[in-house]
Amino acid sequence: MRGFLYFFETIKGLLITAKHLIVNSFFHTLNYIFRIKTKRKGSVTYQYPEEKKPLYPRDRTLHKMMFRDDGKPRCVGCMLCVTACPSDCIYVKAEEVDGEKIATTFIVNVNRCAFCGYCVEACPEDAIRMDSGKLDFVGYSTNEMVLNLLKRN
Amino acid sequence: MPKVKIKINDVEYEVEQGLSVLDAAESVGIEIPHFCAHKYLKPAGLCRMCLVEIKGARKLQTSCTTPVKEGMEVYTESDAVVKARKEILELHLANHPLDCPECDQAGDCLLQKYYDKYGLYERRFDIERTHFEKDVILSDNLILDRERCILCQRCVRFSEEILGEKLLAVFERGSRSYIATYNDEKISTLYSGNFAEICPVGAITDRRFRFKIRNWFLIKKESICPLCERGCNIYVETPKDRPYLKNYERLQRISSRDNPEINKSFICDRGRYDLFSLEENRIFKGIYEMEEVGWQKIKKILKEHLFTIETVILSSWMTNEEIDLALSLFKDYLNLKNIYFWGNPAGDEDEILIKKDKNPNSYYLEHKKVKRLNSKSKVDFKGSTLIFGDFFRENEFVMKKIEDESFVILISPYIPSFPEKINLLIPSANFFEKEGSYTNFEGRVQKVERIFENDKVKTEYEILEMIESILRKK
Repeated sequence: MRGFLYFFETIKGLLITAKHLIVNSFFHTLNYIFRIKTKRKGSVTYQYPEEKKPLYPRDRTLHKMMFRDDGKPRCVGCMLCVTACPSDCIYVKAEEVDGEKIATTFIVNVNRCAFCGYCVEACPEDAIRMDSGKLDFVGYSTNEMVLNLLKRN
Repeated sequence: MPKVKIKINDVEYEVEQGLSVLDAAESVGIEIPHFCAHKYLKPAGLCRMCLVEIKGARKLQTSCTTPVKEGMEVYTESDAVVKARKEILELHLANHPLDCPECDQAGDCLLQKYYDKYGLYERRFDIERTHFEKDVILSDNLILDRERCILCQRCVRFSEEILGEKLLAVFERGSRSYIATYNDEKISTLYSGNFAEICPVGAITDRRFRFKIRNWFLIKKESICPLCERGCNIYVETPKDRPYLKNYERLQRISSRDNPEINKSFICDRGRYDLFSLEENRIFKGIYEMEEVGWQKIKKILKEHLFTIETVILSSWMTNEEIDLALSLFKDYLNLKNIYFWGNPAGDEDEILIKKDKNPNSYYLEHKKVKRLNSKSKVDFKGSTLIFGDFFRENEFVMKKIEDESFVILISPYIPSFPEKINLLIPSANFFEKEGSYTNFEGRVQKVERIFENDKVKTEYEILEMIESILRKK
């Protein structure tokens, strides 16, 4: 009895796959070969390394430091991001530069980071942002995942 | 002291006569917000923040200047009081720059603390804030931000009442008034660090602590100042135990701890800034005949030479417990006659806090009848010598007296200045790494916590225990 049910469900699953295949390729043909615009997109495969999925504005990606026009970082070293960070991954050190408090060290340890975005919300100067769009950061060791945000590339 | 009965917020309390309403409320655990009132300064009634409602009075009264009376009924949280506080805070903040992210006082700031509770949160003034100079250098240790100042005059009153000289004053009038020194001279007093500590907002801040770390990351640990025999109570501030905070120096700031019988809530600049030098020139490895040795080797060498010791020089930086153990070993067990002690040379003194003797525990050693060495004392050191303490960096006198042939053991946390004379150097813990008690010049015994952990070195007590185990085994 059990074996029979399993067989029945398999056929059901195959039918669902076949339905998606036929419907998607129908709309895909309409969109890309006949250039007929429909509401439905059809196939949604992205050719990943060459073509990247578009991000939404509120997506949280790798951290980014904002700089002022004169090249100094916006960060004043108030350490509110360090205070807000639940996973203790930010290390900030500030010094007095031309009578102003400016961060001289800003390190984010991405190994520890949970991408909660609290640092961005806490920042009173809009210095740290998570809108760099980078999601594919890799390295051969954990040391490469400790980022110095003040280094401009 | 005679007591009077007063009612605060409809609860009856018995308080001492002669106190102000503010102090009386504080003595029973009710906090009245205040800026200008300070425990050890005379009341001034300037900030108007401590207004309370007193039954029978027509207007709200400043609680810092009103003395308690029998049968007085005080309300500290009534609607009229809270409304007055909100309005006064609004006026205090009318010209305040709100640069809390950059301000070193943020976290300890009274303005922040009260605004959190009584703030109006919306600015109703549409005029521009008055601007002043933002970084006026008052002395080598102090910096003044006139925009942040709320003119509570605590600094002015501190210099007049505690130091007895007029160093600062309020110039101009009304919204243009500001704090300055006379003729823009720099403050030169040995108590300048207190100005930064006494300031309720971030107007006067410490230049040596400027921008180093935010103060909510610091833990305050209780200790005493070892730099003179008064034994002022201090807090040693060190970063909290969180992963990235370990990258900061372990000693961040020294601040005063309130003790009405010793130092009130003030300490001198030597205690505040010179204690940082105790962290420099440290040594963590034992040295025997100019070669590094481990603890096993040290024990072996001690076994050979301990029984030839004839002279012991104790340090007046040792705790009471260490002195007791050392005396019981060398005086009572080994019956040595040449036991002396030595400390930093005497220096200046004044009437406020600084004492002549620059060591924390000379009183206890003198009480135990140990002979004090100074540059004039006529003594001869015979045989092997065991020396405790770190002050030999400045001391040529003892080193000259020691014969070249004799075996010298030095127990010190610091690199010695005469390494060629010392045969065995045992690294010990510095003042922050040991616990025990110290006796100050009045005979008052005060406890010291262990503030920093260090596995590399042993405290003098542990070294003495090691010596004891070697001595008693044979």
